[in-house]
Order: sequence, then C-alpha cells, then structure tokens
Amino acid sequence: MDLLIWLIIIPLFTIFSIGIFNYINKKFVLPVVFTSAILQSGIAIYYIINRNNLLPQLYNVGNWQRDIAINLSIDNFTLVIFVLIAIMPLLSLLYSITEIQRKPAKFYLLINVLLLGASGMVMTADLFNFYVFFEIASISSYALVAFRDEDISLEAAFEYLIIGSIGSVFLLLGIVLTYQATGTLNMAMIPGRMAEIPVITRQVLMSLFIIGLGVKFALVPLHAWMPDAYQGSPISYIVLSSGLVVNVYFFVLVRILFIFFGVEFFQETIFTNLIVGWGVLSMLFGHGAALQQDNLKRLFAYSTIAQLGYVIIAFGLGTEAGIVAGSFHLISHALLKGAIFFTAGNLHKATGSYQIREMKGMAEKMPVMSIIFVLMLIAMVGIPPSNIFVSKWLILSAAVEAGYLLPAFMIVFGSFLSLGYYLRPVITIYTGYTGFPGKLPLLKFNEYFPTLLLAGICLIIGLFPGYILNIIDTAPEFLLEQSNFIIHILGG
Amino acid sequence: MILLYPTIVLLICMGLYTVLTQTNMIKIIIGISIVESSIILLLGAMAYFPGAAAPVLDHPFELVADPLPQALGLTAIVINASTTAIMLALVIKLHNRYDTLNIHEIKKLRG
Repeated sequence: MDLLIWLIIIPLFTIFSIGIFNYINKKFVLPVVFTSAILQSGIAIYYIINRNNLLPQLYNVGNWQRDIAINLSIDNFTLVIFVLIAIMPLLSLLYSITEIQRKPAKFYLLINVLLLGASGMVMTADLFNFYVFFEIASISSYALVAFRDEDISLEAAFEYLIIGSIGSVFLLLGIVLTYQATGTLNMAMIPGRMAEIPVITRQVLMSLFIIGLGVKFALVPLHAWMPDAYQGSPISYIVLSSGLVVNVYFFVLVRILFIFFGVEFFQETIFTNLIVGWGVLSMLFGHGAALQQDNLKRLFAYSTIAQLGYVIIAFGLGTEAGIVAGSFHLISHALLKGAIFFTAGNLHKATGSYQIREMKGMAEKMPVMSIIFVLMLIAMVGIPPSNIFVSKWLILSAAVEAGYLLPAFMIVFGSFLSLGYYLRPVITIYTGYTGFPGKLPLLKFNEYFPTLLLAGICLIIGLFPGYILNIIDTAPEFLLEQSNFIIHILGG
Repeated sequence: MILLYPTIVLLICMGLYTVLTQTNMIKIIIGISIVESSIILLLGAMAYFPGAAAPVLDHPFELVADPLPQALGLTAIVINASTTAIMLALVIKLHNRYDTLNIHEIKKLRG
C-alpha cells in the first residue's frame, strides 16, 4: 500500500480542519488533533513492521517520468526517523494538553505544520521540495519558539530567526549551485553528474550544505540559538524539537553528504578526519558548556549538542558499523532526552522554576518523579542497562575498528565529563530540604504517562537492543552504496 | 552580463556585513533581505542567456530561458516574504516590551 503521501496529506488536512473546528466548537479541536497524530504514528509503525516486504518504496506524485517527477521515497535508512515519528509527536501532544493553556488551537496548528515539514524533509527525493519542506519546518519552529509570548521567548525567537535565515540562505545557495553544476535537482541524478565536476567545487558545495543544515541541528560554532530557544519555549515543543526535528535535519545532511559525494570522496580528501574531529569538538564543547549552566533547560540543550557530537563521530567514520551505531544513538538519545525534558517539566510544577539551585530537597516533595529523574540522568551518562550504554558501546567499537583511537578515548572522557553536570541536579534534589511553601501539585495522567512510557521504552531498548538493531541494521545499504539509492529512485 | 555575478557576490557580502555590524533590528532585517534578494538575482541570472525568451510555451520558441530556477526563485520570494513578516512582527513585540530597537539593550537571556 502506498501510504507515504498520507504522512503529508494528514497534517495538511489537520491544519485546515483545526481552523474550521476552532471556529465551530472548541471541543472538537483535541479529538481532531489526536486522531491525526494517531494516524501518523500508525503509518510510521505500519512501515516499520512491514519493512521486509514494503521497503524500499517510491511514491511518484502525478506519475511523471521518474527523472523529473516529484518523488517521495522511503528506504531502510528512513526508518531511523520513522521510529521517532511513531513515538514523539503523540506523546508531545499528550503532554501539551495541560501545558498549553493559552491559544491551544494555534499551538496544535503550528505543531502540525512542523510535523508536515519534518515528514516531508525525510521522504522527499529532490532538492526543490526539500527546500520547501525545510522552510515550512523552520518557519513553524520560529513561531513555536516565540509561542509563550514572554520576554525571553521573543528574544530567543528573534535570535533563532536571524541565525536560521542566514543558514537557509546558505542552503539555498548550495542548492542553486548544485543545480548550476549538475543541471538537475533530482537527488538520484546528482551523484552521477557530481563525480564529473572539479573537486574544489564539490568541496564548496559540501561546505554550503554543512553550514545550511548545521545551523538547524546546532553544529558547534552555529549552536548559539539552541539553549536560548529552549529556555524560552514550552516543554512540548522542546521534546518535539530535540526528539524529532533536530534529528531530521541531521538525517537529511547525512543523506545529502553520503549520496551526493560518496564515501570514497571523504576518504580521498581529509574530510573524514575533519568530520570526526568536528564531532569530538562538538561533544567536548557541549559537555564543557553544560557544566556551567544553572537552568535545567539550558543544561539539557547543551547536552543535546554534545550527544549530537557522538552521532557526528559515528557517521563521520563512514563504515557500516559506524552508521548503525550512529543511527542507534540518534534514536536512543532522542527517546531518553524526551523523557528527561518531560520529567524536568514535571519537577517544574513543584518549584515553578527551572533553576537547579531552587530545587533543593525536591525528593521529599515528589519522590517518584525524582527517582525517575535520577535514573534517567544516570542512564544518559551510559551506565548499563540503559540504551545510551548500548549505543556508546557500539560507537566505541566502531571507532576502534576504524582505527580512530583518540576519538574513542574522547568518547569515554566526555562521558565522565558529563557525569559532572548530570550529578549536580541529583545532589541538589536529594539534599538541603527546607520545606516548600504551598501544597504539593498533583500530576495529571497526561503529565506522568508520557514520561513513564518513554522511560520504559528506553529501558526496554537498553535490555533488548535487538528490537531497534533489527530495524536499522540494513540502513547502511542505502547510504554507502549510492547505486542502491539511484536504482531505487530512477528504476533499473 | 559580465558584471552580473560580481554584483551578486558584492550584494551577498554587503548583506552579511550589514547583519554582522548593525545593532538596530530593522537594519539587520534589511541586511537579511539584501542577502536573500541577491540569491534570487542569482537564480534569475542562471536561467537567462542572451536571446532567451520567457518560458511560456504557447507557441514554439527555439531559445527558452530555463524555467526551473525561475520557479525556485518564485518559491524563495514567497518564503522570504513570510520570514520577513515574522521578523517584523517580532520586532514590533520586542519594541513594545523593551521600548528600544537596539539589540544590545535586549538581553534577558544569559545563563
């Protein structure tokens, strides 16, 4: 069954129906939003379960010739993001029911625009549509960062908007110059023609793509917007951003680099060393900056930057084991970081602040949530049986196997460094009980359920990593061998 | 035509310089608009070659400008208009809160 296009139609349809139902009767908005979210998760799960006989699949919008058509494609590497599409949006929307009290319909509308952009970016197979979906996701992100309408969120949104606009200008320049150099925007036809153009031009194009997309997933010199944006925006958006959208931008960059330029190009030039080194730098910088933060949201934003550094190292190796390890870390970090942000939001109910120093003695107020928080922070460092332990182990063994001993050492060193800032909130929560004024807030079902579910999924992945490894173990086929992707899109 | 590509490069540099050096929010937005417009100029320049007709194929032409960069240019114009609108809306909100347009005076985000 060709269900691919429905991942774009359903959010689009929801966007318009939210407007209509909000006008008729506000009670209908929530059911509409959740029906659409469940349908989207269902499609993603359908593809994950039936991956052996459905994939790779191509949907040709309008049945034009394949070289000029609008192609939507899904292959085994896309499943990495489909795992996240199946889980994150639904839980994020569930959490937002109580969190977003002001103008909920607008929030759901913007979230659906964001989901539309994210699914489109993952599935599209030509650069023109990719640029359109990229901007759809970006513009809705800007609006969502400003959504709380406080001083800090407006300031963060303006900062994000300036950095993001410059980034998308570089991306557009990259796309335009790719067209100038190769004469096509079809992602399957570019690699063949790319091999004929001079090396220096290819390096310029690659730099433009890295800068344009690097801004969006907070590659280290371009990361400044992320902590600020997270500090000012609602938890539901942060979970969706850190758990899905940032990973989508990274996923697309990986696909563009591997498919357009090929692994051989990286290994001939110094780019492999450069990317692995860049990953190490991102990781150390993220951990170092997180050590100085007192705001939980900022701390975890820097931690996201650091964890993406590990993924950059893994993909930068350019080996099969590296890609599997990187995909696994992408998924497990997204799930665990989502759970951590939900817990931080729950703890916020008691103190009304995200500052760590104001959380003294929280454990006596919220014993269960505190224990979950502590367990997840320790899991984030990579203690077995957490899923991060498995993924860090995979990255380590892939790095050693490929002969990168110094980056492998840095991964272990970075994990110890991260213990420093993950333990600080733990110590604060369990010491110095002074007694809070007021009553203990009771958590509602939709606040603790997403937290517990995500934490449970992380634990299950940690204990039985085979479930996820089975899904992603064929992913490298479509990255390392350009011919597989080209045959899949253009036909034999 | 010879001067077209140097002009585009100059415009991009001017725009980026404006974004990096100005402290007034409106001027930063003007800088971004200059950069974005220069990319659209590049798209137009790529599609055109001397003697090319507009790509409207209602009767046969021999030389037609490339329609794809033009379509991409139109898309980019729409996207730029919407980002500029969001930027200006944010500037209005920020000006109401802080009563200034200077970005150095708007800094509550330090952590």
